Amino acid sequence: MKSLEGKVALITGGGQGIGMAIARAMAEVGASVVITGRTADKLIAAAKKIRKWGGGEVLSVIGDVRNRRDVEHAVAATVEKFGRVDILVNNAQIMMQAGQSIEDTSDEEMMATLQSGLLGTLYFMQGVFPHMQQNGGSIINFASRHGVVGDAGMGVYAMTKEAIRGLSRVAAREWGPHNVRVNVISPVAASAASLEFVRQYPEKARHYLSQMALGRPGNAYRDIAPIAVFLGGNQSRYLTGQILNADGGQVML
Amino acid sequence: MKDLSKKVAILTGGGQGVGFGIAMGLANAGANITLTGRDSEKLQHAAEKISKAGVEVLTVAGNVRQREHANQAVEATIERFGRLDVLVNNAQTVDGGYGTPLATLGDETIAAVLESGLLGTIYFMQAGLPHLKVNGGSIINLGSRIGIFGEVNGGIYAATKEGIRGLSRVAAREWGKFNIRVNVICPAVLSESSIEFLDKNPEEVKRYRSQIALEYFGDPLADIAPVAVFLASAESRYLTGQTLNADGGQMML
Repeated sequence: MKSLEGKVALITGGGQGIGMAIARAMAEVGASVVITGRTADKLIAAAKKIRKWGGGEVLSVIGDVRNRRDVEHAVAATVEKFGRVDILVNNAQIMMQAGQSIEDTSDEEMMATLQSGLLGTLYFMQGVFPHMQQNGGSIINFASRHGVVGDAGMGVYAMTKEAIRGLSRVAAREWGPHNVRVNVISPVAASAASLEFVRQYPEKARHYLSQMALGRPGNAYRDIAPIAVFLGGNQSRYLTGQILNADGGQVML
Repeated sequence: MKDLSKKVAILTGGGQGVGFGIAMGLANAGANITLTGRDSEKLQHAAEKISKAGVEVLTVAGNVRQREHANQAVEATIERFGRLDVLVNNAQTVDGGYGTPLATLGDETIAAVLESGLLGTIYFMQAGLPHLKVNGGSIINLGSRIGIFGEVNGGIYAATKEGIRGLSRVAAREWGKFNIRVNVICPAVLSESSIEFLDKNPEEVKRYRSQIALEYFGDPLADIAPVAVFLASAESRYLTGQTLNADGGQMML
């Protein structure tokens, strides 16, 4: 039997990058998958690909994680279509412009970062919890080495990601008695933006890779997604409140 | 799914408890196994059970406090199986290392706990390195919440376990370039002696259970072994230097 057969996974920001890679990997091991995102075209294209790779059912729901009503709608649509939610992956996050000092960060940027990351995560957690109480469930949230390390120029992003970690630990303790587990992945994966950075600043990129024990940038599908599959499934049944730094050996707590 | 077939694992202290559970889990995933321990009768008995999973099991009796034993166990493994992929450093003498106040901790206890845990781990890591380098590999060491939290009366046991975590992070950074990953599991399971204690003290059971988010005591095979199988396999290929607290939600870093 495939490891997530019969399970339903809801993945925010599933139209691209790590979110899409996780949706694909979970579909491949038998999960029915729901992806959310703001851009209809992107979402529909992603759903089509995931269906082709994974073979299972894929539902896409358009919405903004910053809007509680959109979140409630996404959860309701999931339950209506599949009758349950077993796994929630809170991946959506509007990325701030990197390299901004704290004092120069605008309110607009701060609110977009905080609301999409922290509040979006909280809204979805509150939204799925009633549906996870019966069979238990696994919630996977996302943090970042920028937050754990406190990288200069990443102020509101770092604060948002560390807040998600704090929230995750509280939820792990509050919802453990309902067998709802809450864990965090702090990933490093190559993206269009990071490849552009390597092209522009090859020296800086080499230096960065030299600080990584495994010496290579992560691949969303091969390196990050299997960890989400592990946390989503029964293999990790005794893990909760944990952070897994899937960063090739940078942050070691 | 058997994702460790054709792999070879050495597991120290595999005759009982968590070590035996992990060995069973690795065998169920298809790995051939070398088991070490001090008591050859106990080892033989464990090997018989594990080989029922359809894998080959080699036993090497000896004491991890002696470097010569580590060298012998690794040599015997290479001679028998031709390779080494996974090393699980589980052996640990506890006698008096936990439960004795610092003020009265004697030299004999200090030596027994430190040498079996920390030195045994480093001896096996050094002996295994040349062979793990060949195809890359995964080293799994065992830490403890007693060390991370700093439990009262945890004395030399806590120090030993945190020493192992420190060593693991250095090895993760030094050996990442050989694609050797080094991670730590901090398991929480009931040993036979603690089951006996809790049977006689039902109030303690309630108190202890209330500190575990998932509200149950871990089982070596069902709860801890799958985490080790994950760390041993390619699923975790981008994780190194990490600590996974497989404790049902007690320690959250």
